[in-house]
Amino acid sequence: MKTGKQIRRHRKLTSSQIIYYIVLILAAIIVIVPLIWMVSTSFDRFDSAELPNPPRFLPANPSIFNYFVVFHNMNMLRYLLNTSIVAALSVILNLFTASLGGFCFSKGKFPGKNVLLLFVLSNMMVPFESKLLPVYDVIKGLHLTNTYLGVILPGLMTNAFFIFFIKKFCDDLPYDLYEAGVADGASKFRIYAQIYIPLMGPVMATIAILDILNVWNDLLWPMVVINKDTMNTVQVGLAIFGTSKNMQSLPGVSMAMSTLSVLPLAIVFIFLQKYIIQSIAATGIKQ
Amino acid sequence: MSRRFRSVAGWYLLLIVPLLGTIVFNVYPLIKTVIDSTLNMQGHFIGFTNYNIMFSDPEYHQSVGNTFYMGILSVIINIPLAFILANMLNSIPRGQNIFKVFLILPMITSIVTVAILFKFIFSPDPASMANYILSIFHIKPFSWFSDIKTSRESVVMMSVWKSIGFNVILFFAGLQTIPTELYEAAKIDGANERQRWLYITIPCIRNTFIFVYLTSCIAALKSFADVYAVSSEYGDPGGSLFTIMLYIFRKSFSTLFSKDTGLASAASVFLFLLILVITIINYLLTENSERVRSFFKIRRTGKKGALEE
Repeated sequence: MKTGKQIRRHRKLTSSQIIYYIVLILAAIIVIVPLIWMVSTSFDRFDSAELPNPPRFLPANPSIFNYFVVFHNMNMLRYLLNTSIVAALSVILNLFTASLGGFCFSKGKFPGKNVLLLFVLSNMMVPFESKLLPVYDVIKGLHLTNTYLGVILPGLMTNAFFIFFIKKFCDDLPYDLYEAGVADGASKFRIYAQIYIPLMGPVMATIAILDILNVWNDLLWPMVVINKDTMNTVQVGLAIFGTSKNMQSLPGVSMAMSTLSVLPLAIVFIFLQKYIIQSIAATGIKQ
Repeated sequence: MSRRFRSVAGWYLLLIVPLLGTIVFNVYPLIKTVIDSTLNMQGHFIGFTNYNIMFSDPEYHQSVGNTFYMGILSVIINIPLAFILANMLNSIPRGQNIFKVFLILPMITSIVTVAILFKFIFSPDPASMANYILSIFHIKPFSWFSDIKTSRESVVMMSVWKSIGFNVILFFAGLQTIPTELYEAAKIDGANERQRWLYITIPCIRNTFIFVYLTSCIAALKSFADVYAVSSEYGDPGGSLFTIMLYIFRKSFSTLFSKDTGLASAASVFLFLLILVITIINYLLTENSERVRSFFKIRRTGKKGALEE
């Protein structure tokens, strides 16, 4: 079946298509200009708190002074490290638990499977925001406040959407593989790890991408569970700085911090943009 | 028998993490929140008093008003704009990917970073970018975030800037699934471009529409990070950025305002009910959509699996 993409490929541009291009270019400019301004301002040295008039998009005094200030006076490197550890831990553990859960719900045969699946999926019905206090009490009771595990545990243990997504993918994999594994005397875990995991590549990539986007950009939960500066994630550190009184008088430093907070994801994005867009389109998930 | 028992127990063991997680981080918190909402700060049962206090609390009224105002405004701007852009993107012959990359860029940028960036772009300073562009058209500078009259609209503009690409990608993916045969048949029958759009495109992506609309509504109800990053937990100026989630956060964790876990729980329960209603509407409206079909397919195939045993 041909799709809309091929529909008008080999024709000349119509007048309406030219208008579409103009509108889209305009939209792209509106999206990209603030980001360009952010990066250029971060390399610009300001001697006063005044913003240059008119706004400039090339630094008048190119320097890395702002980054110097950020690294010397703020814990930015520490925040970046914390977030990287949290993101890495979260992705690894999520991939493991979600793929195992999806595999069990897809290939397992045990009484109450549907009830248990609905039970797990109930996580998707209850927004995390509406159970903030009791979840915090649980984490506090486990003495996990101000730890990396405390940041990821609630999300990790309620990742029903990922389980469901993997289950749907796993449903299309043949059941014969499981039976072949059983015939060879492999345990359930071994069948999962050695037969099914290698076949789940695409869906695992999707989940890794979505999880990194979520964890990297999350603000509310890390802010609740962490109250020690050296444990702050990038978003919390940035939010504290961004709402402080002197932020507005330091455009260069603010933009240097902002650029640094985006940089790791931007690098990932450059290499994986095609997959990121596909993942978002396939799941419709939003942080 | 014992072999079968071991096999079943093995499956349960492998599912221990999600099952335990659902109990500890979903069922227990939900019950705890409902119970807490009927207790006062000393832990005495006071029935629905917290709800009564909450519904007569002017702060809560303000937070609900702000949340709905900003939510409705952002849905009204975001969805039609994203739909139009996605249609344009679908109609151009070349360069679709590069536009998608540009539009999705704000999505990898966190809302906190975006808020800091927009505090400068929307700075009341006449030299700020937004005011500079207005001055080209001889419009007087605005105070944007700092003025009670424009703060909510400014936050909506910021969140539209951030999330438009996401919705464009979703609509675009929906448009791509429409078979071209439909358009060709319509063309043969003499339908013009507008008619084809109205009678083929819109009905075919109805489900995408409903999905985007309802996820946007839910996201708007839960709006926290954008207003927090702009104005911290104050919701200033003049409480115009004070949302339901900020109310809950302030009553639960604030170090600057008086805490009240009972009120926070009551507000949480009410927020949960609001979102539940929207989710149920979502399922009812998209009854024949892919999402729900696959949801019920599990149950059917699951039953078949049980019968086979």
